[in-house]
Amino acid sequence: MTDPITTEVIKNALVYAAEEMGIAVRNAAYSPNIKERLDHSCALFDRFGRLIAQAEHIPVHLGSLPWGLKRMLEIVDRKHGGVHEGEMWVANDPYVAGTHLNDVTLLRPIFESGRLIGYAANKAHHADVGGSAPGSMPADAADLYAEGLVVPPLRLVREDRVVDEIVELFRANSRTPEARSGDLRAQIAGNYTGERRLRELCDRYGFEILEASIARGLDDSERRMRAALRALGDGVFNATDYLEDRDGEPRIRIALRLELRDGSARLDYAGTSDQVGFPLNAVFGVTLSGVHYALRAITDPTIPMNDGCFRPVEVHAPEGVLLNPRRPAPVSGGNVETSMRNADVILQALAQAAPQRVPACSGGTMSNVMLGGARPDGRTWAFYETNGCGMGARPTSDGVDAIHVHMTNTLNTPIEAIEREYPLRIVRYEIAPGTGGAGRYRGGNGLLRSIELVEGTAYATLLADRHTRRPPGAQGGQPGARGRHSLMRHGVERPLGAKVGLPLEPGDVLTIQTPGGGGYGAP
Amino acid sequence: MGGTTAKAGAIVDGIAQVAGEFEAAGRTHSGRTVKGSGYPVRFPFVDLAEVSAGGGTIAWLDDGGSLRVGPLSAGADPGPACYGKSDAATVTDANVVLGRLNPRHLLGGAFPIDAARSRSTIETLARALSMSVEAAAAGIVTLVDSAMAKVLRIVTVERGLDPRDFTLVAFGGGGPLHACALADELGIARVVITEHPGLFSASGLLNAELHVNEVRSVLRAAGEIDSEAVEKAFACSEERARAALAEQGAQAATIAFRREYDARYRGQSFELTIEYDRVPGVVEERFHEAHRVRYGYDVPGEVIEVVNARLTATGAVARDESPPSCHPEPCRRTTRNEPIATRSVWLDDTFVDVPVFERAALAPAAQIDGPAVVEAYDSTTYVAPSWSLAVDGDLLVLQATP
Repeated sequence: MTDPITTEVIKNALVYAAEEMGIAVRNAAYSPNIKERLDHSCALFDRFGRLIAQAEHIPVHLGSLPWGLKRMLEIVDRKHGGVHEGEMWVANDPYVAGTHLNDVTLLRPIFESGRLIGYAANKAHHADVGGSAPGSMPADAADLYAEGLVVPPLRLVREDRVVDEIVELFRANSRTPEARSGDLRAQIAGNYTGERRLRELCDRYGFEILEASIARGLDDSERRMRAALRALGDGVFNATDYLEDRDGEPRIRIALRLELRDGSARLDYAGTSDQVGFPLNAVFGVTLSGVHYALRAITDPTIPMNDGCFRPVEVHAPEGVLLNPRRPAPVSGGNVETSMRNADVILQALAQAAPQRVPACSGGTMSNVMLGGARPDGRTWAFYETNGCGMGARPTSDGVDAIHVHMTNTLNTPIEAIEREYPLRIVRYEIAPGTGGAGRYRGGNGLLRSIELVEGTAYATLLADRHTRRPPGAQGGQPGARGRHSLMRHGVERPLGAKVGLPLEPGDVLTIQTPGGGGYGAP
Repeated sequence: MGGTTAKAGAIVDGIAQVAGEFEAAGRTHSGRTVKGSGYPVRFPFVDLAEVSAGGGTIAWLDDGGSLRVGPLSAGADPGPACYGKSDAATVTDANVVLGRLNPRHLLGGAFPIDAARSRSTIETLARALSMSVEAAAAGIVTLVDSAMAKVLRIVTVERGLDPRDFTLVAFGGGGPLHACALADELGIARVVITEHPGLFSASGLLNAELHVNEVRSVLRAAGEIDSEAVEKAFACSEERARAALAEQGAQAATIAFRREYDARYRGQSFELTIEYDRVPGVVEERFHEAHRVRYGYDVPGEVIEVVNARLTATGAVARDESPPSCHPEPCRRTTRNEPIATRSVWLDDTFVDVPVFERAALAPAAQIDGPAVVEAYDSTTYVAPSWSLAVDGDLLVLQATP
C-alpha cells in the first residue's frame, strides 16, 4: 500500500512542516521571549490525537503537548460537542494543557474534504498572563489563581475568523496587551502553516497512503525505541535528588524507581515529596516530558519523535505528590525548576545502566528572571528570561559553558533587544570562571548577568535552584559551583535567596550567577 | 561528482533551495553539518549536502578487514593509480577495471591511462577480501554510489521532497559515470547530462548573473517616511551598485535594479520583503497582502514599520558564446550513430561487449539504448542497461526504461 520511500518522504515532510510552523510563529511574534529566545514549540497529530511529528524546540513543551492535547480534546468533546472545521482552540490551564499558565496552547483540527485528518498544535510562553507579579511566576503564589489568568479550552477561531472577544480577554489580563494579541496571531499563523502542509501531503498521496505511512512511522519509532531500551539491559535503578525549599534547605525530594525490562521502561515516583504550597509543583505533563527527554537523549536521538516512542514507557506518580499535584496547587515553577531536577534524577538512574553515556549533572536550574513594571509615562512592560548554566561534563569531553540544557532549549535575549524593548541596562554579561566542577573532563561554567533598572518602577521575581546543593559530578568528578543572586542598591550589595520577589528602584542592579556543571571522572 | 567530493542540492520550480544559516568551519558527518560544531553565520546559502566521494577517493580496508571508500582522496596529483604516479586504489581505478572508463587514455586521447596499474592496486584489496578484482572494483563503485545517494536523500527526502518528482542533473567529471545508479537508487526516472559536465561548475562561476545588494536602514513607520529622502537613497544605492557591477565586468546594458522594502508590523522582529513604492498607502497595502499570503492573516490598522530600503542590482557578464574550446573535438556530426568502438564492460557479474560512442559525433536527435558508454573530452557517460539516451540539443537526456 505504501512503499518505503513514500513513508520516508511523508515522515520527513511532517517534521519539516512542524519546523516550518515554528518559523512562522517566530517570524510573526511580537514578544522578545518568542521571537528572540524561541520559547515555543510546534507539533502535528493524527486524527486520533497521536503525536506524528514535532520540531525539536523546547523539550518541556514537546513532552507535554501530547498529554495536553488529549485533555483538551476530551474537554472539547465533553462540553462543546467536539471539534469542527474552521476552528482553533486555545487553553492555558496547566491541569489541562500540561505546563504552566504562561504557556498558551493553540489547537487546530485539520479537515480535508469534510474529513478530520489530524491536528496542528503549538505552545508558546507568553511573558505575562496576569497574576500577582510581572511575568506571572510569583515566587510566593499559594495557588494557581495567584499565577494569572486561567483559560480552559475556548474557541479562539470560529469559521476561520478570530474571535476578538477571546483576544481581548488575554489583553485585559496582561501587563503587555500588544504583545499578547501579536503573539496569539503568530501562533494562529503557525497552526495554519502546519495545516497547509498536512493537506498538501493528503492531496499529493491520498488519505489512505498518508494514514498508512503515518501508522508505519509510529510503529518504526516504537520498534527502534524498544530495541534501544533493550540494549540498555534489564535492571532496577533508584535515584533521588532534591530541590531547595524557600529557606534554601534542599528538602523537597524527587525519588525514582526505574525498571528496564525487555525493551520497556517503567518509572515510579512513589516516595517523592508531597505537593508544596509554592510554585514548584509540576503537572503530570511536565513529568512526562522529563521522562521522554531523558530517554531520548540516552537511547537514540535519531529515532523520529512520535507516539511510537511513548508506547514502551510507563510513568507512575501518585496523585498529590510534587510531580502530579492536585488542582489548584501553584505550578509556574514546575516546568522550569522541578522539570530540571526530574531530568537530573532520571539521568542519574540511567547512569547506572549506561555510565558511559550519561554526563554529569548540569547546572540544574533555568534560573528564571521576571521583571516588569511601569515606565514614567505609565506604559507597562514585562520581561522574562531563563539563563543558561554550566553543562555537566560529558563522558568524552568538557561541559559547555553558559548554555541552556535539558528541558529548555532557548537562546538568550540579546542585550540589544533587551535595552531596546525595556527600561533595563545590562551592566555585566560574562561567563563565571572556575564554576565548572573539576574532573577528567571539566563541567561547563555558569554565567553572570547584572541587570540595572533604568527608570520607573519595577518588581522582580527570581526563581532558581542549586544555590545550596551543588550540581553533582559523575564517576568521581567534582560538583559544580552553586548559583547566587544579589542586589546592589546605593552602592551596597546584599545577597538574595534563590526564590524571591522584590520591588526595584531605578539604579538597582540585580546580579544572577548560574551554577556550574559537575565534572566527569576523577580530576 | 568531481575528483574529491560530491555535492547535491535541490532546485524546486527553478529556484535553488536556500538555507538561512550556515556553520562556518563546522564538521560534517555523512553529508550533514554537525550542529554546533562551527560558527553560525546567518546568511542565505544554497542548501548543499556534501560527501567525500570523487574519482580520486581512495578505497581501503579497515581494521576489521572491511572495504571502505574515502574520506581520503588521491586528488589530481598524484591522482589515481592509473595516472601512473601512485598506488592508491581509487574510484577512478575501479571504473577503469570495470571498463566503464577508457583503459588507454582520457581527455580525448591526450592523457594516457595505465589500466594494468589500476588492476594491480585493486587486486591487492581483492586478495585481502578473497574476491575477484572485478567484484572488488564493483564493490568500490557500489560504496561510493551509496555515499552519494545519501547526500541526494539529505537534500530531498530529508527535506520532505519526493526525489521521484525530480530530474537528476549530473555534472562534475564523475557525475555522468555514476548518475544512472544514483537515479535508480532514488527512483528518479530522468537524468540530464550538461554540455561540458567537467567544466559546469567553473562555467557557472564565470557566466552566472552578478548580484549586488545595497541595504540601507530606514526604521520608520510607513506613514512617516520621507519619500524624497528614500528616493535619494535608492538613487545613491543604484549608483554604487552600478559601479560595483561594472567593476566585476557586468555589461552596462544588462544592469537592472529592483527596489524593495523590508517591513514588519511594529513589534515583530522578522521582516517581509515587499516591492517598493513611493506612496506609503501602496506600501501598506502590499505589506498586508504579503503578510496574508505568508502567515494567513493581516492586521489592518496596525502600524507597519519599514526596516530597510533594499536595492538588488543584477547584471550579466559578457558570455563566451562559443563553447569552451579547450579540446580539439572534431566536428563530424552525422545523422547516424555508429559506435567508435566496442569495449568489455562489467555488468553485474560478467564482462559484456558494450558500444562506445563519441559524444561530439552523436546526431542531434540520436537515441541509444543502454548499456552504452559515451566518451567526451571532459567526462564519460555510462548508460546503464535499463536506461536509454537521447541527444537534446547540447544536452544528453537519459531516461529509465520502465
